[in-house]
Formats: sequence, C-alpha cells, structure tokens
Amino acid sequence: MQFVIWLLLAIFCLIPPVVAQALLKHEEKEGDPDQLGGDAS
Amino acid sequence: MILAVIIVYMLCMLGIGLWCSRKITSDEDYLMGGFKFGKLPMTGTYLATFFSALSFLGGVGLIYRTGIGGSWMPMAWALGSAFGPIIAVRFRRVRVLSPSEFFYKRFNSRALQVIGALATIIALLFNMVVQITAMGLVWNLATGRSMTEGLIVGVVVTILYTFFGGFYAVVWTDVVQCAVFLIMTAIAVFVVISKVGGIGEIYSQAALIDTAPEVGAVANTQGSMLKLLGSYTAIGLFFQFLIQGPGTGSRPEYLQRMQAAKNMRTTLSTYKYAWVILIFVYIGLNIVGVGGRVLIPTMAEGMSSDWIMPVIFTTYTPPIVAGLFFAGLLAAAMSTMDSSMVMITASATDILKVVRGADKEYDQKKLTLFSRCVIIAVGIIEFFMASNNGAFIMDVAGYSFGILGLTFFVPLLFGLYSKRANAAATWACILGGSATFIIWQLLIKNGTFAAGSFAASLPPLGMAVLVGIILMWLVSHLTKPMDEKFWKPYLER
Repeated sequence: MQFVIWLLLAIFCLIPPVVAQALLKHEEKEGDPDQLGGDAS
Repeated sequence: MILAVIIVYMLCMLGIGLWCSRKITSDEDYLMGGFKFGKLPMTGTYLATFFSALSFLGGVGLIYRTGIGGSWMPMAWALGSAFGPIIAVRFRRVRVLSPSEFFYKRFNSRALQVIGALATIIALLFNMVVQITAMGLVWNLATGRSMTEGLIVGVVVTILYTFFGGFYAVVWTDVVQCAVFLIMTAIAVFVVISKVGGIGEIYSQAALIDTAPEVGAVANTQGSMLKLLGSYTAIGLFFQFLIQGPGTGSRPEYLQRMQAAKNMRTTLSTYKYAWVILIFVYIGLNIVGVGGRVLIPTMAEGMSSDWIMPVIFTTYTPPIVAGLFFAGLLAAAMSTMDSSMVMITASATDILKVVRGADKEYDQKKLTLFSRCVIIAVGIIEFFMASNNGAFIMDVAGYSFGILGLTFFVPLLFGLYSKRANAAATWACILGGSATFIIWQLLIKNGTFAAGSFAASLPPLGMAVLVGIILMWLVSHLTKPMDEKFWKPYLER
C-alpha cells in the first residue's frame, strides 16, 4: 500500500510543474517569457 | 554542542542579513529585492516559505499516529499550488509591490485594497504565532532552556536580519535554510531505513503495530498504519482539499515571490523545480513518520507524537547532527516568519499610501525606514501574542489559510481571467464568504446543526469558499463590467 501513497504523492506533486511547463510553452509561443514582465518590460 | 551549533547557525543568518543590507537603495529593493531574483533564489525561498516547522513536527507526527494516510495533506497543498502558475502567468503582467495593490489596479477600489492589506496583516500575524511557539518549543527541547528564552532569541534574530536586509535577506537566508532542512530530511530517511533494516521492512513491521502512539491515547488496530485514507473519511478529505487548496495557491507570500522573480520564465520554473523536489521530501517524510513508529511504537510519557522527528535525531545521531537538525527546525520556522514579516510590512505600506495619498511622490528612504519600524513592531506584537497564546489565537491561526484563500483566491482568479469581474463582485465574494463562515460556525456551535449530521460535518471554511465562488460569478454577471483599461493589461497582451 505504501507504493500507492508514494505514487499518489508523486502524481499530485507533479501537477504544479506540469501546469507551469504548459504555461511556459504557451508563453514561448505567444510572448516572451524572458522579458522583465509587468510595467517594466 | 547542540546549543553551539544553533548559535553559529543564527550568527550566519545575521551575517547574511547584514551583507544583504548593502544592496538596498529603495523601498522597492527592501520589499521586493528590486524584482531581480533568478531560479536558484526563487526556488529556495519558495521551498523554505512552503515548509514550516510544523511540517517536521505536526506533519510527521500525523503520519506517526495515523500511518501512510497522514500524507494526504501535502496532496491538497499540491493541488492548490497548481493554481500558482495559473495566477502567476497573468498576475505578473502588471507590477505591484503587494497583492492588495492588485485590488486597486484591477478593481479600481482603494477600499478593497485596504481590506486586502488588513486581511493579510491579520491572517499572517495569527499564523506567525504558531511558528514562534514552535520555535520556543524547539529551543526548549534542544537546549533544555526555557521556552520564553527561545521565543526571544528566535524573534530577535529574525527581526534583525529582516530589519537590515529586507526581502533580499529573506530570500538568501531562505536558500540556506532550505538547503539545511533538505539535508536533514535526507539524513532522517537514511537513519530510519538503516535502523529498521530496509524500506520494505519498515512498512511490513508497521502493518503489525497495535500499540497507542502516545501514553493514554487510543491504540491503533493492526493494519491501520497502512490504510490509504488514514483517519479521514472520503467527504472529510474532500472538504480538507477545498479548505487547504485555495489558500495554498494564493497566499500573499507566494504572490509576492511571483512578482519578485526577474522574469516570467523564472516565476514558472520555480514551480517546476520546487514541486519536483517536494515529491522526494514528502515521500521521505512518509518513510520517516512510519519508520519512526516502528522504531519507537509509543512515545515516552508526556511527550507528544509531534516530536518523533526530534526524538529520532537525539536518539540515533551524534550531537552535531542533532544540533544541525534543531537549527534546521528553527530555520523552517524563521523562514516562514520572515516572509510573513515582509508581507505584513508591504501591506502596512499599502495602507499608509492609501491614507496619505496614493499618488504622492514618496521619499524612498523614509518609506524604507517606515518598513523597518513595522518589522520591529510586528516582532514585538508577535512576542506578546506567542507568550499569551490562548485558544482564540490558535483557533484564528488555524483559519488563517482560509481567510487568505477567501480574500485572494477567488477575486484573483476571476480578476485575472474574467472581463466581467468587478469591485461589486469582489465585495460580494469577500463579505458573503465571511458571513457564511461565521454563520455556519455559529450554527454548528449552538447545536442547530445536530452533532454528527451531514450539515455539521461540512467545514465552515469550505462552505465559505463555495459561497464566495458562487457570489463572485453571480454578481459579476448581474452588474456592469469595468472599463477595459482595468482588465485589458491582465487579459490581453
């Protein structure tokens, strides 16, 4: 059963990185993620 | 030896604070580090802020008591944190010095800005009491000296380095503190595995445990340590996700860090690196909690099960390693506290600017001086709150995530993703949600919702978040949308 909880932990903890990566890809297509951002860009 | 290690560690933190103070030339530097942090400092500070002393005490203690199911809470936080990048990607499009300033820039309401700042100040003041109390307890356990002495040392050191170095010091001390507690987690995992005789052995022996975790507590039944849901029911777990999630994704400290990174790539990468590291940390803590139970099936009389990790270090490692662990525990508390201090300061600056005229030109040196005075004031208030921590303070501290979730999460998501979101909808969300929380709480307390009934099992904060979402959507569709100059910078490029 410990493998199930480890797997669940890994899956849940991977959600923020997956979302961040998808948004980064989108930013690379639509804008420039290396810009300073905000009013200062 | 333990005391010596802790003192050296504290001196290092002070040194970093003084070194960082040379970089401060404006209030923007003091509160945001000049908006120039790269991936290493951002990941370090995110992790250190995320990880409080409670993760090593209460978090591991819960696994020790209830088994593998004690790891559900980090999953709720992970799910809530997935909203972080979704918020960040648009929140960063307009530069702000504090999350409450967003309320003014997006909803054109100074009153909402002040409410956002006040909610931040109140929630974080109460939340910090828990960290400071943990600091006192750790000091007492590590050195055998008084808890009050621990409170004073912890608060004074944190005030000093934050006072001198502002957000720069917070971030760079966080990086060191993060490294310390990652190493300590790895050592704890290694110690537990080697003492029990392997990972498989830990879990197979845990299945046989039928003792009580603490003297006088209810004993576990055989096999309960490996129950997937642990002590939760399915519905209880659902509402825990609803309570814990939103607050985690939109806590002002993280919003501040989204802004402080040097660019969007850095902000988004922080979530990638931090959460991959957290997978190993949380699996590691699961092993430590369950393995600790196998090694010490029942805590010594008078000792809470929350102290299992310190007990593992003092029992099975040399004093220098135990000293570093206690320093790491203090580090975890200090890093959560310093972030809250800077966030409270940013919110207080926000209120000051609204009261004295937001469009006025301010002398940067005077603003920095004001910020430093607030840091000292917060430290003094915290010391007294922690010295007299009654049930009321602990109750409010427990709700602080919810307060912040209610104030920021729903208005932020709608404000960043819906053209229709406006000030009226935000007021409806915050006031309606707060009223729901208070009324639901009263109905449970005075017995209108019978104990054990379905309504009584629904947590007030979960209901408040649900009502907040419904009201925000409803009112934003029933009232006039705002002029496009307010939503366009966020919703369109």
